[in-house]
Amino acid sequence: MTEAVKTSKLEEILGGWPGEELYGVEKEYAKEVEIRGKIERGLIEEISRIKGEPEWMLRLRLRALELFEKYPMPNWLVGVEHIDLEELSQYVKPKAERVSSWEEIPKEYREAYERLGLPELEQRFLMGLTAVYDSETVFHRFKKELEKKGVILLPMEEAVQKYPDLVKQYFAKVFPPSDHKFAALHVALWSGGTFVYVPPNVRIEQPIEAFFFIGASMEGQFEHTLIVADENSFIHFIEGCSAPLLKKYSFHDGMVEIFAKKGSHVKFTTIQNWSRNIINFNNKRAIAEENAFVEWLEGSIGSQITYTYPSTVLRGRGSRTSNIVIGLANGPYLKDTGSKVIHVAPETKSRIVSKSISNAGGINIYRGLVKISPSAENAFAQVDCDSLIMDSESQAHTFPHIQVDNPTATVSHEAKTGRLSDDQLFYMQSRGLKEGEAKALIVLGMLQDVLPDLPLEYVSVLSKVIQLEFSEVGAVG
Amino acid sequence: MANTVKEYRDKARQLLGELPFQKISDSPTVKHYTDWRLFEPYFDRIDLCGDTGLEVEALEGRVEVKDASRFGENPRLAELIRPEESKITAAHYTALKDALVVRVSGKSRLIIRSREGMGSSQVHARHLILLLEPGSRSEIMVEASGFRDDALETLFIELYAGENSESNMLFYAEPPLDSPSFFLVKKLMEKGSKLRYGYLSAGGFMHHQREEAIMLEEAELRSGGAFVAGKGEKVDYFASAVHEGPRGFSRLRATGVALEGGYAVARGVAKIDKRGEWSNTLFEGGVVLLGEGARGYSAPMLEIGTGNVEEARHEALGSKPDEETIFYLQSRGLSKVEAWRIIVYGAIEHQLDFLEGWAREEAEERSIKILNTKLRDIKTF
Repeated sequence: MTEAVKTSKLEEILGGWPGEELYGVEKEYAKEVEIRGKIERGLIEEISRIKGEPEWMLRLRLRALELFEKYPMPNWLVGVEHIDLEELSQYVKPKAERVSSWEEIPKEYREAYERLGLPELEQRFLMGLTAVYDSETVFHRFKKELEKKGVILLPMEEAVQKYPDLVKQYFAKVFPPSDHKFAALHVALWSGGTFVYVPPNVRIEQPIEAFFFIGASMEGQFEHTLIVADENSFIHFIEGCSAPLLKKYSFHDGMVEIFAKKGSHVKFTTIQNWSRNIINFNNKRAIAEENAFVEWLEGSIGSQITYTYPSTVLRGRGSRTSNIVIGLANGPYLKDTGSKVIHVAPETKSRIVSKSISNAGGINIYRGLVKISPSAENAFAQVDCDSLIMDSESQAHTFPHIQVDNPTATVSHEAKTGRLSDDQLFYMQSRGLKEGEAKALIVLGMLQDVLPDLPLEYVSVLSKVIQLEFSEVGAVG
Repeated sequence: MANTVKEYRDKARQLLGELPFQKISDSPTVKHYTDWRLFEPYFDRIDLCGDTGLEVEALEGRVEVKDASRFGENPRLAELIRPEESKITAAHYTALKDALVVRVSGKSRLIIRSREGMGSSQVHARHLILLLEPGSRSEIMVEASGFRDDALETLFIELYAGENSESNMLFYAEPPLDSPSFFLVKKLMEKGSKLRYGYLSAGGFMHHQREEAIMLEEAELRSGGAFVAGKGEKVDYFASAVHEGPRGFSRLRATGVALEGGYAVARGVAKIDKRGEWSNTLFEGGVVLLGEGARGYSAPMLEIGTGNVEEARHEALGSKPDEETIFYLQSRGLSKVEAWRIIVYGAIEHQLDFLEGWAREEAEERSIKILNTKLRDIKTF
């Protein structure tokens, strides 16, 4: 090894961070309640009873259950055939009360968050944090100054109890359970998650984060995030996901609903780094009213299979959306990602950017839809898909659909799939970098134009994760 | 031993009730772009057609023409297009009287035309097997027009481009305006073959045009599709190139123009599988919308199964014509109708500019014919 390599920053990082440190390893921990079995009325009623929910929420769950039973398995999904939903625990309450200081969390749960550096991040950088372990919130805290401004930030269950009228107005309205089988399943079984309401003209200058952790194999996690940004408000919400290396698999079927009112700006960032035993399904949709701006930044790094298509309905005149999706399939994993934008109102604008990297047999799929409705006069939409395939065993597919029902619209789409350049790799290796280091740098280079959209602290985390993915000890199965 | 037309017909009739029009599996929200409901009524009575419905005029060179049932050797019927592919392929084979086999050798020039005499069946099935012999040089024009408007028209072409063959080909279609139509062209591009292929059509009641190519080693395909969907007309155009051999090259283009209430879809798939290493593929698709109620969809897809590719990309545009260009043309004394006419002509012309010689000349002439027919009644101007 050359001197230059010995002293490189990357080597320091890798030296101090063995592969399993990225995810940890599944450990035994105490559970207060665990419900599994056939997904039927009795099971739903039991979850609702444990949560002490109002009648309307139970009715909503049961209606969603009916839809789940009625709908066939979507035939566009690849790789979910082997999931036996009834084998999973649909609800797990860890033996830990919800607290608002890290010290109060039992050590066996706290360790997971400490390994990810969450307590430090919360103190230094965030205005609020909700941490969900399996199906329930174990930590929730947010800055007093936000409370004074009228911001509501609560675990979803508590919001249902305290603000039933407000929650009822929006819950499962942006993304109704009737959309497809897994949306219905989510609404029937939801547990955990965050509710945020930002009053008119309030700007939350630092991000709020929700962090979701699955602690054990054969669990289903169905957390629900609902953000209502009132007129001319601003919020940046960050969602993080992780799990230890599991003995078997677990299933995640989360939902995010965003309602961006007139003139508001909502930025939603996801850094998904589930371990390689998680099948990750997401339902994410926003409605943007007049002149509102919705930004999605979706970073899909971990998981065995991920399905995620953040979507925006541009319902108000002059509303905009920017949807950036990053998929890294490193190893025999599938990233089925994409984005959808429905232009309903005039003068609306959208931009979709997809960046995917496939390595060591990884498969990336982009599915997208841009729809310009007859009422969307002078709409503008731009889609760019950029795929990098690192070797002969990996794959990248793009399935975009552009539907223009108004002749005043301007829509463009461009996609290219490139291979890792041998010359580039050779050049970097000749300068002393190992193959993995060189690959990590090339990937980071490809993401350069989207990384500035992330807060600096998260760019650093993401960079470390990508570097580890391509190191000799990374890409752990 | 190859099956006979009758054997395929019998098999297709059995399959007809079981098959769907289309398998939907690429998206949770996108269903289909062809309105298959318009095809359904024609399945009530599918009788045997009275004729092959095709005729050939050889203008130059060696061209052998025979019905598949009298071809003597294996006519390669249904090797590329199988009856079991969909409800519509089954319907086609059910009604098929006989396929026409055209073998082209040496240097040749020919026109293949559709003709009447299909009988009372509600499905008129025409089937052409085009054998381009290895090393041949050909110029081919397929002209599908003069349909009766009371039957579902199907026209299938199985094109075998032999090793190192070279061909310039134009497929010109005037699909029926009162009944649906489904035209399917499948090409097997054998080692080192080269094909320049243009498709040009004048709308249709509900017309589905499907162009598929299998690319073997070092095969080269330049394909362009241009079509104009007039008021109330619907055209769904799909083109694909699947690279199954190394070092292939494909360029696929498609532009649809939708006029007032017209509906144009330009879709395509550029695919390189593991066997197609070091291939180069591009799909460019777009729709131009002119006038109120015009709708245009595009779906440019890429499926790349290996990192060993030379180039793979696609582009799509769906838009109104550039206002500045219209203003410029009007400032030079042209009326808005004339300005738009130039823009549409430009869009079509660009799609087929890779054609050479006779095929190119024919394409230009027919483009003007389409413009004269379709832009005549536009109210926007």
